[in-house]
Amino acid sequence: MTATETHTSSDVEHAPVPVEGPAVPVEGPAVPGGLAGALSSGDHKTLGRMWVLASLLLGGFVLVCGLLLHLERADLPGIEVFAGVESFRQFFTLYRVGLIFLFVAPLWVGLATHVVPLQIGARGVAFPRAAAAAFWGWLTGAGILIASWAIDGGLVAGGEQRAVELSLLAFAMVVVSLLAAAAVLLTTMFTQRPAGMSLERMPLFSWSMLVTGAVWLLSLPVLVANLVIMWVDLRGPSAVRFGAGQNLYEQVSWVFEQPQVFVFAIPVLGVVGEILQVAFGAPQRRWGLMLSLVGLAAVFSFGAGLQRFFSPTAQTTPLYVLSGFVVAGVVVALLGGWADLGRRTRRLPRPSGHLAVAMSALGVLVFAAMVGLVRVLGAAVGFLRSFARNNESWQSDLDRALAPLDELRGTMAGAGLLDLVALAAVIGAVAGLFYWSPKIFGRRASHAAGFGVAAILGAGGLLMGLTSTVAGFLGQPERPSTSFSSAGAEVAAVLGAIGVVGTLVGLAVVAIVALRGAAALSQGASTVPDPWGGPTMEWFAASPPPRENFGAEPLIPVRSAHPLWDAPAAAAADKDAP
Amino acid sequence: MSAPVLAASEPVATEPVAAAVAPRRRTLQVGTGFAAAAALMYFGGLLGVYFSERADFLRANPGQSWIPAGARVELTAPTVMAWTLLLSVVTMQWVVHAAKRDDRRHTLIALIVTAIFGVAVINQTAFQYRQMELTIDGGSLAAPLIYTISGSHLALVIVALVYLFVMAVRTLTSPAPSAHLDGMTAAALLWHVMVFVYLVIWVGIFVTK
Repeated sequence: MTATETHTSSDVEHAPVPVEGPAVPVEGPAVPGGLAGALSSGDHKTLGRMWVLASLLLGGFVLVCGLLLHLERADLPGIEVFAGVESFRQFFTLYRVGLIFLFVAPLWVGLATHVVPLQIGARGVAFPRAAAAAFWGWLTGAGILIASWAIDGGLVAGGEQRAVELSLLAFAMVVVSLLAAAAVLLTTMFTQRPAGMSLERMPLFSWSMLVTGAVWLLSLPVLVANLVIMWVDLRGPSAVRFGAGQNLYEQVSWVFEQPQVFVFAIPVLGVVGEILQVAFGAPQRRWGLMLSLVGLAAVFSFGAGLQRFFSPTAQTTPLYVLSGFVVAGVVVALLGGWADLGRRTRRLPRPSGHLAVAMSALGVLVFAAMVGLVRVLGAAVGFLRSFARNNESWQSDLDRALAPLDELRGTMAGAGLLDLVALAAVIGAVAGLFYWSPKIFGRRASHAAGFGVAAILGAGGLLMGLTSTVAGFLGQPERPSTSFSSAGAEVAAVLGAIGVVGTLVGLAVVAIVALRGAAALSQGASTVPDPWGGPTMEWFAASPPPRENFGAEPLIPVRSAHPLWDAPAAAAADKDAP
Repeated sequence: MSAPVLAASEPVATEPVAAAVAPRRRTLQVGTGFAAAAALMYFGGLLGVYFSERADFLRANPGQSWIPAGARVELTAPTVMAWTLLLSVVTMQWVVHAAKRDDRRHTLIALIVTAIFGVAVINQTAFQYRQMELTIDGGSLAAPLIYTISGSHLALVIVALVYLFVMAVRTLTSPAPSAHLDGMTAAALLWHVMVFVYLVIWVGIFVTK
């Protein structure tokens, strides 16, 4: 049973009493400032900011690649972006690898590295030097990865062999660095919590990062194994199978496909849950159920066992079909939980910039989950036919209704799903940046900017993802062999043009967020610890938090998942105590 | 607004928690546990590919050998390595036991014996590579896979040895070795995982071929 389940209706009236955090930074040994400080820092806040800013900058580069791909698909007269299909495929693989491993995953790692230790009441991360090594390893790997693509490498046939080998090693370095960062975060969450902060009392964002990190830790080493096998095979006089150019991307494609791709968007649920609680000013009921649902979505996003290259029927298995249903079901169930929050308070949430961005992320994620559900329905044809084996009429009905969905495999619908999930993750992370801006940047992000970003990024994301999905339904191939010709080529070209607009919009917003963040960092800090009336421990710390986060003041006792809202009750209990 | 109340069954933290919360014990063990889990999944991925490719090959080429003609993948060296590593499990636990009792002399002896076993395994792997005469020449799927898996295990042995060395220095230079038991136990955990992985490789690749 959780503490939140005992609340009566009177408990959910409105905003909690803000708790004054320690305002005076703690004295400590002098640390170098400026560039030297950033380069040598093991402080989780500095590292978190560096992860965020670096991933936003690299994200801009990745979106430019996406823009070029959409331009090519748009087939605009007089614009020939790529010299040939091989060149297109090179950018196609760079875009996909970059979108997840240079943009989405490091953005979450950055946000979590900054926020999670504060949320759980820790003074820092468990292994500061390992955390720093993870960041610098990732940044170096990312640089080499892009350079290797630029010198005709990448995960494609026809590339320069040494450059392809370098691409594989750099990709492995990026993944291993992200794994190291995830391991540091998980260890922090398991070992640095203060008394009272049990796992089920962890804030929803920290919990979502815990389950996400755990699934990364169990699935991404398999990706590293794929890369190492490819590299060893490629080192021989002639590649047998694994290192053959046309097989390179195929062996790692499972990371960018359903269900694995959803694991990169699980923290969106955590960010949305945190922001909604604050917007309604009331604690979430059935806390344990909410945590379980987020965990369930993460578990069913494990896709390392569903590799089409080694098992061509992987995407027709019951597990694959079930994963689509579970992820969509979990998202719907969580929506119900959050609707219950509004029903109990009987009023609308307090409008804010971060709420608008979070709702935008949730909208894109719901849409992505539904697209995922439609895709697994196609894969379920054979599975469902076995249930109707004694009734030919049912079988033909099933074929008529669902077989066209099965033909979505290999079309742009897959790219659309990846775009939608990745953009939901990016928008969710931006919502987190807005919400935790007092802690991360030392300044409160403006609500007007939040509304603008929510509208623009949400619309841009939907334009990118939706157009690709519709192009998939029209039969446009994901990776063309010779051309993009399909049944609806003209319509697909129009959709590609719309996708260009969507990417441009997304690119502009990412650039603005990165520049605004950098500007806020250079402009000094506000000292308001808790501008939103947040319930979790990070709002107890000053804004921005001092070294070691909470100064010399004692932390408030943790008695539920929202300790700051419990503080008045705790104070009263302490006062009444003999 | 009235503050939310607590369920009667909820445990209540009655004392304010000091900000300077000392890290819980076993940080290194937990961190190493996560690293070991990742290593297990890495080898799981490698072996999954190996078994899948071998099954496909044997299905497509009934009666043919998965190991290419001319290569000598014998069982003797891998079996000796398996026994060496099994013995090292015992000596590794001896290290932990001695450190726990602040017995510096036995900790040192057990560490040296464990390290010798580790180095012996590296030596035996090098011998096996020379003996196998298995080349990555584009003619066989088995060759790159066997080298990837055994080479990755070799790397894991080296990592486990370095980790053991670092923890040994920390422990033996400390006035009380038991104060560094967390690190020594973490090194032992990684060592045991390394041995477990080899036993799976031994059965999966060398015994069943």
